[in-house]
Amino acid sequence: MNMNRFTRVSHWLAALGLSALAGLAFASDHANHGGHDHHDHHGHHNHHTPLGMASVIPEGSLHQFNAPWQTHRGETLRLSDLVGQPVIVTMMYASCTTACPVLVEDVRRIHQGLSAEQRDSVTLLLVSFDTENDTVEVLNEYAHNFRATEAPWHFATGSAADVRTLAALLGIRYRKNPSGGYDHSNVIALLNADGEVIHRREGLNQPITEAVNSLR
Amino acid sequence: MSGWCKQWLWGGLLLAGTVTALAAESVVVPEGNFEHPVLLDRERRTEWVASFRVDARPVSREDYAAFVEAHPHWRRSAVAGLFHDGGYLRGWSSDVTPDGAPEAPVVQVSWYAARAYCEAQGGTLPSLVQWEYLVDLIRRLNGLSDDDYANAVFAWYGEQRPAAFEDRALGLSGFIGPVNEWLEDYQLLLANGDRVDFGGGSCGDTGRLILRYDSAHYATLLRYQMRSNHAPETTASNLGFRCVYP
Repeated sequence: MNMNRFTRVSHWLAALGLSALAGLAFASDHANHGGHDHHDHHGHHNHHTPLGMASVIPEGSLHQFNAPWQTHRGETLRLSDLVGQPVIVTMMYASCTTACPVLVEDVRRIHQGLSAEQRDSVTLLLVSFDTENDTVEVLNEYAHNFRATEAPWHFATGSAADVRTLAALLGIRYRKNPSGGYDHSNVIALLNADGEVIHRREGLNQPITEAVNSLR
Repeated sequence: MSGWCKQWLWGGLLLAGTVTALAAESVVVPEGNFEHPVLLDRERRTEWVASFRVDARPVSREDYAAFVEAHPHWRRSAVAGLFHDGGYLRGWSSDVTPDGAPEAPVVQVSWYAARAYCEAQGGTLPSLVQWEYLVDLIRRLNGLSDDDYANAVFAWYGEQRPAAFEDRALGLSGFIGPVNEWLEDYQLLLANGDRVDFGGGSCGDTGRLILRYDSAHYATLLRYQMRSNHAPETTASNLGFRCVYP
């Protein structure tokens, strides 16, 4: 039984305020929250051959998601390439004038709160919901507006299916609205060097202490 | 609706379920207008749905076995832990040997796995609007009353699981049956101007947004909410899927 995974899911559900109709009984073991031990949940199956990739990468690791993202500098970036590097990740879109600029600044604040050594090793990944309009060029201009053109900043676009996968992995809900924008939950997640979500916060302009401490 | 007629509708699939499944056939769904039963956006009450193709029945266990044969990284022993909750294909006797009837709907598949299957067929999971449009279409084309629809949905949550009704107009099966189905955008996000995700899509919030307070709309609300509460890595014995194609 992989308690970490269930624990994480239960925390997400709690964070999302999901209600009684879930019909899913997740164990909620708070003592285990944030633990980094990785259980091999396949152990309870009887007919399995030894694991390949999945046994090397922790099972909750986003390094298992190898979708290619095109960054605002025209580079290709995959989460699976970021083994050994912490990542601060959020989702936004360029024509969003209300929440998204705050999300970008929140990412900047968390980054600036890190130690000098951590600031050099971390990747900042901001993936757009708007796969139709947020081209590499649009994202490049967006990065300029935020004076965030250089590494470790990565404003990124990808396929619509991959955007939805990433949102699902991060517990971000979104939907295109009738006026052509996107309604979305405001989430910033921190991945450790193993690609696991070690911190996740909803809302805008929150204190950064917890986020910064999670990477210590 | 008379008891006889109801029996005819809901009993149809008891029969269909025993017939050996044909190769995955798809049905062309005509374009049309969809009236949102749950108002996800305050400003959008109706939506035009373009024509699309949909699998006539849920993806079967043998369909899925063929998929994992061809895509070894989706076999139970190899699948990435990120993409399921530990129960993926739990009942199968081997990586490629389904449990139960080969033609029965595949279950114990996460949303990630269902999407990978559809992608491999050149399709996608249905959108929420596409799937709900189909339910509405089936109800109308088969003359299903609001009460019979609501009773079937509520039965799902009770002891007596209904057989899925057979749709005689379009030839679709499995809707509102014993097995629920994954959708591409199944998670609700409720917005009211700049207020996004208020209440986190909890039942009380959704309940304020149903179009009419009758049994059929309440039944639909229950389905929306129940579906939305699944985590994408969830694998369940009553959760399968079908695919759509452009």
